[in-house]
Amino acid sequence: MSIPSGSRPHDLVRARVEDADRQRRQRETSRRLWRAAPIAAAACLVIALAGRLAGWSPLVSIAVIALAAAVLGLLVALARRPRTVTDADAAAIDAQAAMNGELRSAHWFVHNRPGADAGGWIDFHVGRAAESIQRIDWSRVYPADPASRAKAATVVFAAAALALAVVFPGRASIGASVDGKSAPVEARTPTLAEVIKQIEGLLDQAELGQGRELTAAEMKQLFAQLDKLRAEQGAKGAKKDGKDGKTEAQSEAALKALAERAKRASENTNNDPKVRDQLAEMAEKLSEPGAQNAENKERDAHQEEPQPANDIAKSSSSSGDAPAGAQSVKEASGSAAVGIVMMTNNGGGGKEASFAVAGGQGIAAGRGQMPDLAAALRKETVESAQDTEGEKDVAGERRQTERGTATAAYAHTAAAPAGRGRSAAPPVVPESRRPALRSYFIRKQ
Amino acid sequence: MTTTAANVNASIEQFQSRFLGITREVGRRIVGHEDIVSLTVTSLLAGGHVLLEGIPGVGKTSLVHTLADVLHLSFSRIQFTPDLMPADIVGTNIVQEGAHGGTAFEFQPGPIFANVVLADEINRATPKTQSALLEAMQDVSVSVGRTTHRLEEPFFVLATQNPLEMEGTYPLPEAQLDRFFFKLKVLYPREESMHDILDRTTGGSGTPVNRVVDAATILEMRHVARGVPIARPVQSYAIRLTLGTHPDSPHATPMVKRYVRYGASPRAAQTLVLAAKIVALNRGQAFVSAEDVRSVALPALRHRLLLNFEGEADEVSTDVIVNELLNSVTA
Repeated sequence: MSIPSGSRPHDLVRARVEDADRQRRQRETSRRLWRAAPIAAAACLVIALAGRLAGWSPLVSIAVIALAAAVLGLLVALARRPRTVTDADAAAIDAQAAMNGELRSAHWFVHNRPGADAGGWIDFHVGRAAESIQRIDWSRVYPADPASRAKAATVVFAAAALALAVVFPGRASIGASVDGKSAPVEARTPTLAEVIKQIEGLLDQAELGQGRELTAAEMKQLFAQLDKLRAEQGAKGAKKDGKDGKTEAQSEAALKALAERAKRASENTNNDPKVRDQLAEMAEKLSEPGAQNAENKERDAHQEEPQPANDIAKSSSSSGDAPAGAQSVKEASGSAAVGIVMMTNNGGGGKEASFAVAGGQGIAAGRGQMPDLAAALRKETVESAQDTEGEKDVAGERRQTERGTATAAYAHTAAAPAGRGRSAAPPVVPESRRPALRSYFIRKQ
Repeated sequence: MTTTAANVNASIEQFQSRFLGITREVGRRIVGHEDIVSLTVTSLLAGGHVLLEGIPGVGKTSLVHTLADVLHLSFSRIQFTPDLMPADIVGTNIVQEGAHGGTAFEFQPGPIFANVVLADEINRATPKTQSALLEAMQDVSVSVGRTTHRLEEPFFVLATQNPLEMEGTYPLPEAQLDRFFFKLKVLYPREESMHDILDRTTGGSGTPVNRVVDAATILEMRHVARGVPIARPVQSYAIRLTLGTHPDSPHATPMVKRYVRYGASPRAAQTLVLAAKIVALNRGQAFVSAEDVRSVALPALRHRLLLNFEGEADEVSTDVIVNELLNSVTA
């Protein structure tokens, strides 16, 4: 009896071989998966441990665990997808099922029919192969890989990695990280006494003429700590009078003493000019009163409130009924021209004029009327024009407004907060300009 | 006649039983050497010829005699000697006096005109005489003068040679060697086999054998064997094995590259496939597996490798080279 092509034996062989190939791939994948999974889980655990010690975000560990799981899942998905059974696959299945080449040969003849001459032989061969394949218990040929130890190890490692990443304390919270506000673990904020001690150490060296040049970052950090501590102390002082107020006064006194020392050290020519500049800056910073500092902060906080972009002239006023004005006052004396933008509020209380680069609310105590401001500026400008170098030194301090020859005008400058605490570090000076810059800032003795 | 699945099944069973019958009958007289007997019958059914190599007295000639008895075929034996001439093998035209007094040349057939020809100690004849077998082995015909004489099918040459005696011998030319389907090495019998040999040959009269198949049956079996289909990947394996015997082949092994001058010819691939088909039928299968090809690779390839000087100097066995090739080339 002839069995035509496409009849049951051919379909059966094709289907069985495909099924066997799927089982074989699944077993192979399972074997590889459970060989790799404990290693991947252990790697995740190590990363979680390293992250914990290094203070990484817990998201890193979780991301690594998720990535490992995704890769392993992808491998499984790839192994399960249907594909064409090749001769090599058929040969492997044939060998594993101990079919002595019958399955491989039948599989080839099912997909390829060489000629009509051998039709009877091929049909007979495929028919017998189909019978042989049906007799095979494929679940015994490809038994499920229990891999219980590997599974247990994977679960343990993965759970430990997750626990290290999420559960155990000592890490930044996940919630903070998720909000995108996760900050690196901050170092402990030093106390004011510690900062003073640090400054004293620097000054000791500077007084000996061995002052160390601080980096811009160090300077910025030092000043930021100082501001912060002063603000904190100011806030405490506002809440509690008495002992805290006394302590604040002591601290301010100590800072002023340090300012004096810094100023003296800045005049020590044994120090490097850069160091001296830094010391002068430090002296200036230390001499700022703590209360004013706190007020500056408060003002900065107000200025941080969002305003319309074209609202430069409209700073919020306490009365709210009069618009803020922007005026440019220009005084020319000789070749010099100075223009200063002053923002004020017409509804102010007639106090002394406040001075700002470009707007701002002005301090309550610093508000002034325009005539007063104009008069003050005129006086200042006239004095500046008459200023002679070294003539008007008062108590060894030279005026800041020396006679200049440059023409400078500031008009309609964009509004921007000018708080010191918010100022960015100056741009890096190129090496080629550094000697010129240094000589420019050297004070004449 | 259209071959159907039922016909195929019957053909396979019949082939199997006949093959088993031949080997069983030969085995009644020849002790041991079951694989030699099986491969010899395989060669006969494939239409090939066999070169038997072994030391004297191991039963080479007895095997051929027994096979001829079992097969119910005409048999002739040619003892190759250095002075043997081609005409002594193929025959010659002689002047024959007619009944009416006239004379005429008449062809006198040589001993090659038989179904089974035993070329005993073939390497003792000169290459010229050895070459007299070339046409007969390849085309199953001999040409004498202007006349070509067909030999009777099945035509089966069994040649023997002694590997020990080199003096006064002439190694077979490559063209002649390539025409042998198999080269079988008849090894010294094992101790238990020796008891049987002695029992059978030293007591009473010899063991009689029955004629189980005739020429027509053999030709029919040849036809059945050629019908077995072979899948292309299996055929590809046979081809790769053949190509692997060439030193410049990508399938060549280190030993092939080092010791082989020329590899096997396409006849080797034909031999592998045909022999594998018969092996498959003998196992009751209607398909050829790579294992069938492997099982016949050694006798089919070992005499087709021509060693280079280094191989000859190092006395490298071609069996070692073929075995390395079998381990190297994947099915």
